[in-house]
Amino acid sequence: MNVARSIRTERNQPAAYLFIAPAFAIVLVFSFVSMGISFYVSLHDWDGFRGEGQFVGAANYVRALTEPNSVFWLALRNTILYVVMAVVGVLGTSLPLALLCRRARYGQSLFRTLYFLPSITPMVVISLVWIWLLQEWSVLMDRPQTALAAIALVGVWQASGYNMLLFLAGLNDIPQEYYDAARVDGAGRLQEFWHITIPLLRNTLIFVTVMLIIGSFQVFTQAYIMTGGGPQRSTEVLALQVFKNAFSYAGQMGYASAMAWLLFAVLFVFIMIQVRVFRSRRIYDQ
Amino acid sequence: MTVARLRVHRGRRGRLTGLVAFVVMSAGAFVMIYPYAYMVGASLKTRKEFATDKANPIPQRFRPTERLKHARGEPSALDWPGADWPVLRNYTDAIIYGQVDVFLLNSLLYAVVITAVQLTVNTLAAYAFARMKFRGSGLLFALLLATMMLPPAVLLVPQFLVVSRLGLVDSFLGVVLPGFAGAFGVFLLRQFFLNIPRTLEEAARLDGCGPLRVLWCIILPMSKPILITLGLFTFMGAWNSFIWPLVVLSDQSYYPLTVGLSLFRQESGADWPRIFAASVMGSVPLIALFLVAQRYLVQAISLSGLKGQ
Amino acid sequence: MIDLAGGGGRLRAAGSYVRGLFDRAGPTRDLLRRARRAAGRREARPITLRVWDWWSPSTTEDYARYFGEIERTFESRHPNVDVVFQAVPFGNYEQKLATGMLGEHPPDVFQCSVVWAQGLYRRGMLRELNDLLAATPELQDDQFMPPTLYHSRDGGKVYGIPHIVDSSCLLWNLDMIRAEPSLHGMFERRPDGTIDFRRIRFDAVHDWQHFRAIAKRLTKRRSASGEAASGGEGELVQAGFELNAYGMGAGIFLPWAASNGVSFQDRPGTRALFDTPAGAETLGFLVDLYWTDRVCPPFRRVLTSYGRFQEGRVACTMGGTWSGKYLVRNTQGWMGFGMTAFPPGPHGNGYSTTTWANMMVMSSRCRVPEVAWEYIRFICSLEGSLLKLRHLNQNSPRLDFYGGDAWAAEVRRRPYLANIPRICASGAPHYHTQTQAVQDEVQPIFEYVLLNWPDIQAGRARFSSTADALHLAAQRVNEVYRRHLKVVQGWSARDRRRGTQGGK
Repeated sequence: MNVARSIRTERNQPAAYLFIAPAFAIVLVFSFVSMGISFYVSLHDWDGFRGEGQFVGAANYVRALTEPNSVFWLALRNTILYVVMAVVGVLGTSLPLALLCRRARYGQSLFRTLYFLPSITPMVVISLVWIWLLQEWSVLMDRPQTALAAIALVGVWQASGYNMLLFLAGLNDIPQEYYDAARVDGAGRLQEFWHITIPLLRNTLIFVTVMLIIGSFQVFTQAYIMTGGGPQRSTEVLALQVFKNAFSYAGQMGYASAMAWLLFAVLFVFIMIQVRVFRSRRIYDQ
Repeated sequence: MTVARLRVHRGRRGRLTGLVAFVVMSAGAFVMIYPYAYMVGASLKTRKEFATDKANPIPQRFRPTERLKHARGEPSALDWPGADWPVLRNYTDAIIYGQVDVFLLNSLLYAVVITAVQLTVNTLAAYAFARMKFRGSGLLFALLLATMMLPPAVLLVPQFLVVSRLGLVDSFLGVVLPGFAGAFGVFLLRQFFLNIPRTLEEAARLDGCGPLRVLWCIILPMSKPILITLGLFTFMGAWNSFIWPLVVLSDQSYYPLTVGLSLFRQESGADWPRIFAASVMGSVPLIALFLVAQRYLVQAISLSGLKGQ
Repeated sequence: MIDLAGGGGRLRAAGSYVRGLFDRAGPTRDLLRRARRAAGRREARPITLRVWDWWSPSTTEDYARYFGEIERTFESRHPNVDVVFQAVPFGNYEQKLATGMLGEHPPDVFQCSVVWAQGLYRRGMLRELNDLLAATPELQDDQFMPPTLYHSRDGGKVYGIPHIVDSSCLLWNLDMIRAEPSLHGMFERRPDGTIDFRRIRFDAVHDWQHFRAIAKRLTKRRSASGEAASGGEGELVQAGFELNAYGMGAGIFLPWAASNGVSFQDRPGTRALFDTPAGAETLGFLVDLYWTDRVCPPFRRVLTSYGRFQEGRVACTMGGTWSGKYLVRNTQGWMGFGMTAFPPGPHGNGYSTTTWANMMVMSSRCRVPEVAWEYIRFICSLEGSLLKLRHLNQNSPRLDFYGGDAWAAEVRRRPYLANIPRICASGAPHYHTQTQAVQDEVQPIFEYVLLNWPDIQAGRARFSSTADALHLAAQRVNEVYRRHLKVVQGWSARDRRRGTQGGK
């Protein structure tokens, strides 16, 4: 880490512990400590109301992974499908939109404002409007095959503006000289794109993709508001299953905790990539 | 917005491309805006208008064709019951019957408290990490960073269990407590503080100022932009937060607007125009805030990696 | 509702509005209350009685009037009590209860549906009422219709008092029946022999075959010449019966199954009982109505209840005995409708449906049980029933209710109420164990069968027959029951060890 050192040596300042104490207390309690409690609960048949349960060891994990017609695998499958659709959808709209926005003759800043609006609107509001838009103009939400695509559409609609701005920032970092040099060499538009834009945008691309993946894995609001698990469980996503088991069914909070831990395990790889990319981007990429 | 530099290619081909890009972007902008128009239009409709024509956002009694028909004496939408519905009746109904003003106040309270406390706590911690030397600072910072690895969905049940143990379920503190500190904010602020030249501080330190004085008098005034940016993002995130208040609250007089809207949705006999009126009232504050503070937010995105919802 | 007090001056009105807002919003209200208490000021009504219900004043003005009168009457009789209502949507009730009972504002009294009562009692959320009941003559068992007492007790322990009785029923559009002279036998006749077009006979439909025929007669399609006529091809103008695939869960299957002699579960909730030939026959009957007889409109997700029926596009749909007030309000009175029970199926034993009596219960975290019991007594007494009749057109499980003048007058005013007592009395008990989890298991299967019947018949689908589908559904439901039973037994074991009974 790049930490500037002063010439004189500094004394240890115990006051520092006081400074960091509030942040640490809260962050640690609500992250590590809570995960520990949740792990403990996942080893029990726990009821949220009674605040207690029977110790069952790994039974909840076993049930999630091996139960015939396990809802966990179904939810995982749905969630992965959603993630793929959302990531492809967002990348496929926000990158071209960013490129187009830079080329547009008029109104660039107006476009930036308009496209960003969905990102600052509560997802609940967006879901409520899109229920009716989808109901009126399509049968997407009725059929189990397409209901997931419908909520992915809503997710893409919301996120594309924000990601468009991310790409715009990334594109702005590419020096104009490269393009000019390429033009002199006689490169066409497509070659410019392939050989200059994409490689130099790599950092941003990776960053956006990883953030999208992690964010999409946690989809909840659209499924809760629009479909409630959907026609024949086709939109039963992991976060929704965790919610239902923890809070709607009696005595299944341990099972919900087990599912949350399994979700964490699935996400772990992506999270490690995120941290790695994040640190490199922030610290070295001033 | 001053961040992006315009790159408009010259030449006729460039102009044509620019025009085409403009047209395509406008079409996309229409797709982005149309749901808002639909929402506003639906919020002005009567129940019958909404039930009979869901596709067209313009309420029937306002449409010129219907008004012409009515003027000519032909049967039209203006003959339906409720045609004299006051324009903003759904909004006043949402407030009177739906208690939307309570929800808005709650959203405001939660967002303001979370933002204020988080900024304070994060600034203190960031300053300590950036400027103060103490044993284990590296390890502790790494620990803090590590907490960013835990995604919110995974933390939902664990946080509920902690709040439940603390006896804070269904209370104001229960809603805001997990939001009182964010590792991400500490990280950003620390980055910013590290980049502030030390000269002023050293001068102040020579004069005998303690670390708190230095923070308050020197660092903070220089950090206005990042504080405003971080504050805005925290505020918006707190305003839009849905799943945590949904899980932790059951007393409806404590609901923020997001949870209140989901409540309306799930009632039997839901009055959709009224729901849309409440939705409009819930979106407008943030949009207004965004328009006022665009500069900071767009800067923040290019600094970015700031978490969405 | 807020009252903009303040005679003069906009500023004063604004000030009083803000004060009122702070009084209504939870965080500020409780903060002010704590401050007032710390300052030593006593409150006018020191006892707060928190009442929860899924009936919401914001959905109908009728509920607003009903709760308003309840509050006024009760508060005038108990001047030191402040009744605070909270409306919680039915679908979120258990979740909100579980959270609310953990927090600072648990409900004291709430309306409890039969689908949750057993589970809540086993979890320890409900207070036993045997001691309070012993001292209250007007709420004894002999005052109520027997089927209504089924769900509010377990092993001799009473945890709820029924206050309304509901049943599923068939809703009929009487105007459409009237347009078919051959169906006029379905109407009641007045003593002088003329047809009363506002009332449908309880036994209007003789059996399932008859139902099919009626539905077919009432299905009109636009023929090539542009006219609407029964049968034939062409665009559907009027449907005979509405079947919702997307809402198709146990709640839709059950009444028809009951009329075919099929029960859903045993009383303690250990086994699913619907996996029988009669059950398969029921599902087959419903499927045939859509795919073979084609009397139903195309399947669409419905976001509003009885939407198509209200719009006058279907002649018959499934609803409940409580639907009347909604229909009257939503159609603003222009539609004539009636209710009947479900006709007997081939294996059935007379008209049947499902009946349940929602109950008033006291939470185990109630801090003022005497006041809460007074409230329950008020609601479940004849006086409370008459209030419900006046405001909500809701009928009561009390036997003395039906002998009174009020009911007779109401029936004369609203003829659709006439069949309700017989409908309720004919019903079988509604399923009640782990209903949310059971519904989540069963609904996808029923939906699948209804939506993909042609594939099932062609042998391309997951199931080979309705019996096959029911078999899987029963398996899943039994799994839910088994899991639940294991958890409950664990709780009982801990309670016995600790020497306590239920709850925190």
